[in-house]
Amino acid sequence: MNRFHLNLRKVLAYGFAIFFPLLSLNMQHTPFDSGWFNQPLQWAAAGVQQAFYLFSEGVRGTTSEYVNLLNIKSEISHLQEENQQLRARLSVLDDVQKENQRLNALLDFRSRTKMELVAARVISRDLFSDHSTIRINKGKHHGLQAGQAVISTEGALGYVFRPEAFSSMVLLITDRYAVVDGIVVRSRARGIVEGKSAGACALRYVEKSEDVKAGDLVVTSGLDNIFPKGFPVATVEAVESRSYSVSLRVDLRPVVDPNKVEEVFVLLNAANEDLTERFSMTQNSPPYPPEVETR
Amino acid sequence: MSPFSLRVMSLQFVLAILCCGFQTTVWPNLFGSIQMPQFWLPWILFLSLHRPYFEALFMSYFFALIMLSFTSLSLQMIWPTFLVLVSAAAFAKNKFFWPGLRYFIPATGLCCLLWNVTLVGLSSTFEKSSAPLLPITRVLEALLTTLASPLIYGALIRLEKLRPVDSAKATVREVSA
Repeated sequence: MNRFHLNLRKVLAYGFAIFFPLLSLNMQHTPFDSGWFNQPLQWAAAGVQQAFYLFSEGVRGTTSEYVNLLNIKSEISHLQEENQQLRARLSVLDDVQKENQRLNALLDFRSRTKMELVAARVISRDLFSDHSTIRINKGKHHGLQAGQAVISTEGALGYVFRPEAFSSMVLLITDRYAVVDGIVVRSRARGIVEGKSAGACALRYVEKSEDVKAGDLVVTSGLDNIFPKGFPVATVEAVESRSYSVSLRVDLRPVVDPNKVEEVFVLLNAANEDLTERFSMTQNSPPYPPEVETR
Repeated sequence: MSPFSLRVMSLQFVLAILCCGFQTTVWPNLFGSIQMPQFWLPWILFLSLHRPYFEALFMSYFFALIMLSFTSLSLQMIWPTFLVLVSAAAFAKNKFFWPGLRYFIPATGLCCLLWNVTLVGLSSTFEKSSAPLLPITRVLEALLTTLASPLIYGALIRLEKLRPVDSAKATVREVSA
């Protein structure tokens, strides 16, 4: 019986069309959310990205070889050709040397720390420009879990938020859903480091009375149980005290450029390591007051 | 829906996943930090223009679930934005529409701008840490997506021609016109 002469199928279709967005708006969202319905899709996405990574590595290699070949052909004299070849080789060697230095730094970092680390390579980036996530080539199979810190030799990068079997998604500290507990090295002012956009973040909830200046180093406080204590996060870029706000507005620049990082470490076990001493030496800041140092 | 149509639809989904994979993996590997076009967006627009409204809408909702594997953006933002996007495209299609690339290319640019405007609007309304404006980045992204749209359009048209004549009759006739 349809007393109102309604097209019930159409009403149902419109109902469902609006129901899903409304349902999603009412859902509590956390970056660690991963429903059962997403598992096969995430598996497929990880597979596609790994395949594309291998493909693009191949294309990059072939393209550079092709470019080198074109350069050689364009030279007229034999000496110029040889010179060009030597230059090309030198450039390759420079790249190899840079990579060696980078890998040596990674090895050195690994050998000097008590922390249990897993090295990983970045294979892909986020779909949207206003979000900062990366996918790394290590997953649950290598002991990774959600909430583990991801770092480089220079500083904190983010944390694992969607581990798959052989790859994991990492939420970088510049993503607007990311939060890390931070502390200013010079004045010990506390705050929460929140991502703003690709390449920038901010220190929030810093009291107005706190002493924060441009150039100050912000390190992890270790309270979030993700990062070890004293690991560099960002440097203060600008500080603004607004009359209508109870806290300072502190803009930060991450110590590691998330767009340029290629190799990372995932922290399996921080082993209660305190890195404050090691990294504070790198900044030109006055020594800590004794009472702070003994904290 | 016939099994044949279902197969074509699956192929279209595979194409969409490949677009996302290419965008997130190959593009940054080859072009570094150069702004990436949204390769999946022409796919959504194509559906909106060449499929019935509800079919396009529910396909886009399903595609949103796939997109979650490539980003940290929440479903909370993607589904309502897709509702706006598909509805706007269907509305525009009813008002003025002519088949072919000359319509599709500018429509992709507008669609990309609408995606960004809706996303920023919804994010500032419903999220605590809202999406940044980044006007230059978003305009550049729309331009690059517009430039990339003919490639996706070509691939989708080829797939569309595989559909059974009775279900894809209108689309194929429009395209070959």
